[in-house]
Amino acid sequence: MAKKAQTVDGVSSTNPYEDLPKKAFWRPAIAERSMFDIAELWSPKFRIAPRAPVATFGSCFAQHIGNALKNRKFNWMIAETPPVGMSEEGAKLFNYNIFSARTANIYTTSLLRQWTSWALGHSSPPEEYWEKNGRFYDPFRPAIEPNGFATLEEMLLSREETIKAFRTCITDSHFFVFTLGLTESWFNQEQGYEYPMCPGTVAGEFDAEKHRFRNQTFEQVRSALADSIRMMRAANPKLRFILTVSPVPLTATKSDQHVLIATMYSKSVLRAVAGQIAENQKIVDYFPSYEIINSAVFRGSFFEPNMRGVNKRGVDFVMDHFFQGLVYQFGDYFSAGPSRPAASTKKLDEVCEEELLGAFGEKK
Amino acid sequence: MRGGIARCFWRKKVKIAVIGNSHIASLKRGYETLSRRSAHELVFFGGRGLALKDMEVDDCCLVPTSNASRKSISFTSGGIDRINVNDFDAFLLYGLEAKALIVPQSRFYSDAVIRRSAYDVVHEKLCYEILLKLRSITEKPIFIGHNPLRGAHKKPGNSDTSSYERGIEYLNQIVYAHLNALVIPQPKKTIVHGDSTDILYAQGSKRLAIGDDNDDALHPTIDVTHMNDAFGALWLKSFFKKI
Repeated sequence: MAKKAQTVDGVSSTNPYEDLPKKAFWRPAIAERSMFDIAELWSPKFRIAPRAPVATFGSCFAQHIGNALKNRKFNWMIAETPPVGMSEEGAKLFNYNIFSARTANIYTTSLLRQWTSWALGHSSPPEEYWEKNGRFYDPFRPAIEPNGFATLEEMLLSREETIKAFRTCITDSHFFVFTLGLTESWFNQEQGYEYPMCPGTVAGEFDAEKHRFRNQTFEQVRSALADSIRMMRAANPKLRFILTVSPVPLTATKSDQHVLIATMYSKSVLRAVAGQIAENQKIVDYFPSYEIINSAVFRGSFFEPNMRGVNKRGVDFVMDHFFQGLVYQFGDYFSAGPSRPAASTKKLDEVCEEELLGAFGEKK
Repeated sequence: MRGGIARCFWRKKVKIAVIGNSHIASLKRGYETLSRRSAHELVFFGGRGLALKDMEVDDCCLVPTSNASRKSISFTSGGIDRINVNDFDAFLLYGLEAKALIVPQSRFYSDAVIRRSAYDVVHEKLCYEILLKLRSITEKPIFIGHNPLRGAHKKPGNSDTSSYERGIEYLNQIVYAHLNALVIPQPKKTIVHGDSTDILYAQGSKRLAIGDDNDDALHPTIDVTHMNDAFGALWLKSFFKKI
C-alpha cells in the first residue's frame, strides 16, 4: 500500500501531484488560458535591484535584454560608450550600445571563454588580422566597423579597448546575462582559437587546411561555460549569472543536416547545458526566452514570416515575462510597465552577423 | 588654437554679426555689461527656437522669409531686417542646435568613429544650414559657438576638460576647417566635470527679447540649457581673446 504524502499544513494527501500549484498542470496553466495569459513561466533566483549593474552579452537575441533593461530604468551596464554627440544611428552602425562592450555577437560558450580568458589575462589574443583593399579587419569582430580599420595599430587598439571594457563588465557588474546562440563554430586548426564567424564570410579568406568546423557537443558547450563562470567568479566573487538560449533558428548550417534539424540539435544542446548549469549552481539562473518564443503553445506567432526572425511583439512578450517574473517573486519594487508601447509589430532592427550567411543561400 | 582664422582680428576693433536663437540672450545681455572701449562691435540677429530656419540667401544678404523672423531679427538688431555680409567683418553663429563633441581622453576611438561622431554633431543642425548659406555669399571669418553644455551642480572630483577640448579640436579639424569656420570653446572656468556647465551660470537665465510678452522673462528654474548674463559676458571675453 502506498505511503501518504504530507502537505505543508500537515494534512495528508494521496499522491505528490495533489498539492502542486496550477502552473504544474497543462490544463489550467495552458489549455484553459489564452496564450497571452500564460504566466509564472519564470521563478527568478535573484532579485535584480534597479541600481545593480547588469552586463549583457551573447547571440543576437541578447541585445533585446539590454534594451529592455534600459527602457525599464534598470542599470544596463555599458562599459564601452561612443563619443558624446554620436547619433543613435551612428552608434548602432559602429556596434556601440548593442552589448555591454563591443565584442559583437558571442554565439558560443567557447567564444565566451576565449573573451573571458583575454580579459582576465589568462591568455592573449592571437596576432592574426585580415586585410582587404587597404583596410584591416579584426578576425574576432569582423563586422565591428562597417569598413574595417584604417591601420593594423588602430584595429589592435580598438580590440584592446573592448577587452578592457569586457574586463570591467566582469569585475564591476552584479549580474552577467549571457544568451547562448550556437553550437556550430569555426576554429583555427593550428592554434586552436575560435572565430565568431567562418573566415571568408564577413571578411578574411577561407583556408580549408587552416580553418576547421566543429559542431560542439553537450560536454564541450558545458565545460566552456563552466570555465567561463569559474574565471569570472574568481575575478568577481559576487557576480551572478542569468542564462538564456536564443530562440532564433540558424541562418545556415555547415553540418550535413537539414537546417531545421541542425537548429533543433543546436538549441536542444544549448538548452540542456543552460538548464544543467542553472540547476547545479546557486549563482546561475535560467530564463526561458527560448521556450516562450518556440513553444507550440504560441503557434509561431512571435516569428516574422520567414519563421526565423523574432518580431517585436515576441520580444516584448518575452521581456514582459522577465520583469513580471521578478515582480511576482520579489514584489513590485519597480515600475514594471515598459516606457515604450509594446503593441507595435514594427520589424526589429537588430545587429546579427550570422544573418550575413543567408546571402550564400540566396545563390542556390 | 587650430584653423586659419584664429587671431585674425588681433588688436583691431571689428564689427561682428551674431546670429543665433534663444541662447544669444545671454550673450546680448552680457555684452551690455562689457566695457565699450575694449569690446568689438556686435549686432545681434536672433530668433527663438528654429525661427531662423527660413533665412534664405538673396544676393549678398541673408534674408528672413517670414514676418515672424523678420520682426525678430529686426528687434534684436535694432532695426536691421536683413544680414548684409558687406556690413560686417565677421560672423558668429551661436546656439542654433550646434552641439559640443566630447571624446574621452581615456578611451580609444577609431578614426572612422570620431569622423562619424563629428558628422552627427554638425549635420542637419540649423547652425550648419546657416553656415553653408553664409559661406555661399562671403569668405569672411565665421565663428561657431555651440549650445552651452548642460548645467550641473559642481561636485568634487574630475574637473579635467581635455575630453571637451579634444572634441572641439576634432570638430574644427574634421568639419569646420573645410568651411574656413572655427568653433570657439566655452570658457574653461564655466565647465564642471569636464562635460557640463556649472549650474551657477544657468541660474537666472532670461528669454531672448524679440518684442513680445515673453521678453526677458526668466526661464523656469528646471531649465539647465540656457545660461545667464554672467555666462554671456564670460563667453564674449573669451571669444574676443581668441579672434
